[in-house]
Amino acid sequence: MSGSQPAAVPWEGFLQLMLSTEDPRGVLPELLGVSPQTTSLKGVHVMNDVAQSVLGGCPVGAGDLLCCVIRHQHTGPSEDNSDTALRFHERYGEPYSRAYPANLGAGQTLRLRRAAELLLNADGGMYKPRTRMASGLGTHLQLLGQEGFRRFGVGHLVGAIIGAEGRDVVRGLFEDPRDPVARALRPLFQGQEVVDTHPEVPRIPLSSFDRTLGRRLTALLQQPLSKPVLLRLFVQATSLGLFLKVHGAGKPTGRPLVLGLSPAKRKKPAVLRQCSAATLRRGVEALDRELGARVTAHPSLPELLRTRPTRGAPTLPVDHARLVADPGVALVGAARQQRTPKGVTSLTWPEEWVYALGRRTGFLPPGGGRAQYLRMTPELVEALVLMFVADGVTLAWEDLWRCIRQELGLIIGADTFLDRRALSDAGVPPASAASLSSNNDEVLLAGCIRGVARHLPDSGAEAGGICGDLP
Amino acid sequence: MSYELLRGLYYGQASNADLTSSRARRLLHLETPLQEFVEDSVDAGRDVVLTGNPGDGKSHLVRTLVDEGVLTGAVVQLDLSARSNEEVLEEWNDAVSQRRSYVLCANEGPLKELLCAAGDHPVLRRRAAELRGQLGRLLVSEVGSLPGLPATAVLVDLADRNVLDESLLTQALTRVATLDFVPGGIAGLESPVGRNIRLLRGSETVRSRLASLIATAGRRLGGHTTFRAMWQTISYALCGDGGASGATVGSPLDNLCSGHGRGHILGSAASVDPARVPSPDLDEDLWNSGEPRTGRWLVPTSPRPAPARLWDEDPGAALGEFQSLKRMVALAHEEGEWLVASVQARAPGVPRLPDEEMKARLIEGVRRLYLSKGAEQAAGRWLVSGLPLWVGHSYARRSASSARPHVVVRCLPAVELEVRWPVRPDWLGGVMGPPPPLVWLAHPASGVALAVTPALWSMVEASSRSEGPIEIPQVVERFLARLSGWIERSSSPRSVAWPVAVLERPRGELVVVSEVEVLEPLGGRYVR
Repeated sequence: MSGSQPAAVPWEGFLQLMLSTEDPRGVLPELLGVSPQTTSLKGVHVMNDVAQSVLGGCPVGAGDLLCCVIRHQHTGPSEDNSDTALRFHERYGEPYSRAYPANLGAGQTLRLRRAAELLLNADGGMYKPRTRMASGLGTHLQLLGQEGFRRFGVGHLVGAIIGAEGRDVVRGLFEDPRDPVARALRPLFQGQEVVDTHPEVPRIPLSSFDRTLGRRLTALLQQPLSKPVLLRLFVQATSLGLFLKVHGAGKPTGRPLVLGLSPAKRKKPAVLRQCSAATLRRGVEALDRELGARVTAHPSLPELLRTRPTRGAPTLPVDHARLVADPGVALVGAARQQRTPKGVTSLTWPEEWVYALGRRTGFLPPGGGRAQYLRMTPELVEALVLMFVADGVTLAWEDLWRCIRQELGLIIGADTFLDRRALSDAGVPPASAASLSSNNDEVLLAGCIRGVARHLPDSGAEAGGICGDLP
Repeated sequence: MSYELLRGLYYGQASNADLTSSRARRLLHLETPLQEFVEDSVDAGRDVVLTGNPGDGKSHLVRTLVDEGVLTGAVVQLDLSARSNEEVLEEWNDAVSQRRSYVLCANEGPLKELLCAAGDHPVLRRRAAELRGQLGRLLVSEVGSLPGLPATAVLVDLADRNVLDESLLTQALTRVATLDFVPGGIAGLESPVGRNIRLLRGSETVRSRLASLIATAGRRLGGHTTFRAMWQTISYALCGDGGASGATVGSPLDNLCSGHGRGHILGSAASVDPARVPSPDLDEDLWNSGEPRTGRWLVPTSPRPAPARLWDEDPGAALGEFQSLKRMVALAHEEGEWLVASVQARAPGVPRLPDEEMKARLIEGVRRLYLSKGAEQAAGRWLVSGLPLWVGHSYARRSASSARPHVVVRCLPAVELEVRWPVRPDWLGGVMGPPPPLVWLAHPASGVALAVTPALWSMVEASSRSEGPIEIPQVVERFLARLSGWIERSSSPRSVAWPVAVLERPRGELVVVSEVEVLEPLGGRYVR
């Protein structure tokens, strides 16, 4: 079979089949709800998008004023954000002068603008005004800005996952002006009309995994922490959720099996890293199988296979015999091998954008090495505890991880017997019970350091917000 | 036999009461007020439940009392985990109906389940409720939270017992300082282990100083220490990890401070090495003559070569001999008193200061984790008069300490915070030893508290005096996030003005200090 002639399938047609957001919808949006063709998504983009999806957009032009304020060092002819220019600016002069009265003095105004720059743009989500790149670290509706990454629809997806209750909680948070960031930046509130650049909510199929994840994310948002801290944890948990969703998308329940490793700085045993990396590979393999089946069943496939590529247009070479035997698997397999030449639109596979997001939020090691593995950072442990344990309640550490395994498909070795069995069932050669147990101990330690877990006198442990409560 | 027992303590198996003989238990048994407390409770007709960590001594204590015939009137269950809840409830019920006390050893998790099951039991309901009322409340931050004198059942949580008590450790060292534990009896007195035991036998001061150093090492960790860990440390100090031939020629401190021992206390024992205490005059004497110029040895010791004489031949051996000599002085020479005192003085702890002073130092220390003393001078008065609730803001991979900008709009007045010390019920008396070195900085209105352990106290103290970058302890970060969260939810949305300050990062540039004035219906302006 491998010796048969390759067939040339039009690359653009294949991309259309995979990515189209119009009917018939592409395979990836149909399976995952979204398919961001980028590896540049950051947590700040995700949060901004989620908030706008829930709130129905952001104040028109608000982001542009924020961009002008924070880009105080740009005072040239092409972009003049000097104090004088902004005071006399046709659109921003009034709100700017109201926020920064002239009697503050130039020095204090500059210091306040630097402070706004730090608070809104620490993550580098904001750029020039009028470029729709105003994804600031806003904690209030009035601090949100328009940004182009909304086109990928991640906000609508997360909005669908957290459901009506979760959306109400997000709305409540972004309409409440009492957190420190909103209070510090309140002078920049403009009260303009709220407009939505992406009002159409696409059809998003939800799996049982998605619904469970949504319930847990909503629980996290109801914890009594300061809003900026809560939103940070929400971004961490959401990014992890998307990461797990991609790795479980090939499974009937949508639930993956991923081994998370301790964040200890010392070098981890190779066998554990390999085991964690293998759980991710199995997830991607299952994803490919599901994509293959969906490509085969896609109504546009016959047309794609009939279409002869136009001369000079990029093509996807596919083994003819394989294409005949199982077109979906053959096309996905060939596309995985495809090296798109410069100037030709490439395909960003789902795991690629979630890996990039994971690296930016900190739960994947930096760098794009081959053996990726999930790092259970203390913050991620805190986020998981807050997702599963309500305020003022405690849960045995083993029970917590039993729930996490059953609902999210994430394991750390908290129950070495069941976790090893789950690894075997997933086709991953399990690491030794001792190494898994030691991994669990280190993750528990991370929870203890973070103040969301504690050892019990009988060698057990429990999780919850208790550790900051007065005994 | 006893020597084997002593060695086995390091590996843990010899201190497991379920695996040892009654003779071994007798040899290792230390008199504590707890024994009398259990006897008195049983005599008063109360049930007694002992819980705690593995190695805390639950089984040891009860088995010893049984061996001594003290519990003949009671029904004893040595391990809740070995029986089903139904069996234990039936046994307990029978004991009550026979008017006999029930003595139970139980791990905390299974005990919670048992007490839950006993809640529906017609006879045991009241006793279970009384025990539930004691569980987790025998060491609290407020006298009002303590359970009253038990009427029917008493809980003894050995996880609250402090074994890092010099008198208890001295008793343990006295116990092993007998010929029983010398390998080969009298003939073994010249072996390294024999010499170590002889040293301890020779002077109560030697035992007391060693006990004090072991206690200091354990306290550095701030956590709970079990009896098993205590015995493990003593075993290693006397025997090393290789038995008779493995010990060095010097003193038990050579083993203890070697840094090679495994275990809770041994992990930090190197930090209490008296050989590290700077002492120029004494060092010079020891280096040149092999002993201090003044004072006398508390026990007869063999003359040792002056390290200086070994230097040309083997510099490593000379330095090793010097350190060993200095440790011997610390233990067994009149000049050693201040060496031990110096180690204790340098060890972290939580000093028992008056409440107001402790509160002021804690608030200042936490505040200066974010804003150093130098930077505070440029800050507004409101920012240095209480506890600013700094909150970091970023969604990216960056640590709070190194790269996240922080903002504050509220400084909690000191009057809203309290210092709380750990308290125990009066009816426990001194049974559990001194309270642990711990204090809480509490915000009673929200119920949020920061538990200040010796390690955290050290950091907070260091922050008060230092400039430059410092790592924010994660528990402090979380404490402020919880306090700020509570205030966000409880503050009025109708405030008309508030201060604001922004930090580039903790201990970084204080970018701005200002004030916001609200303008209706929306927005506001900076007014200074």
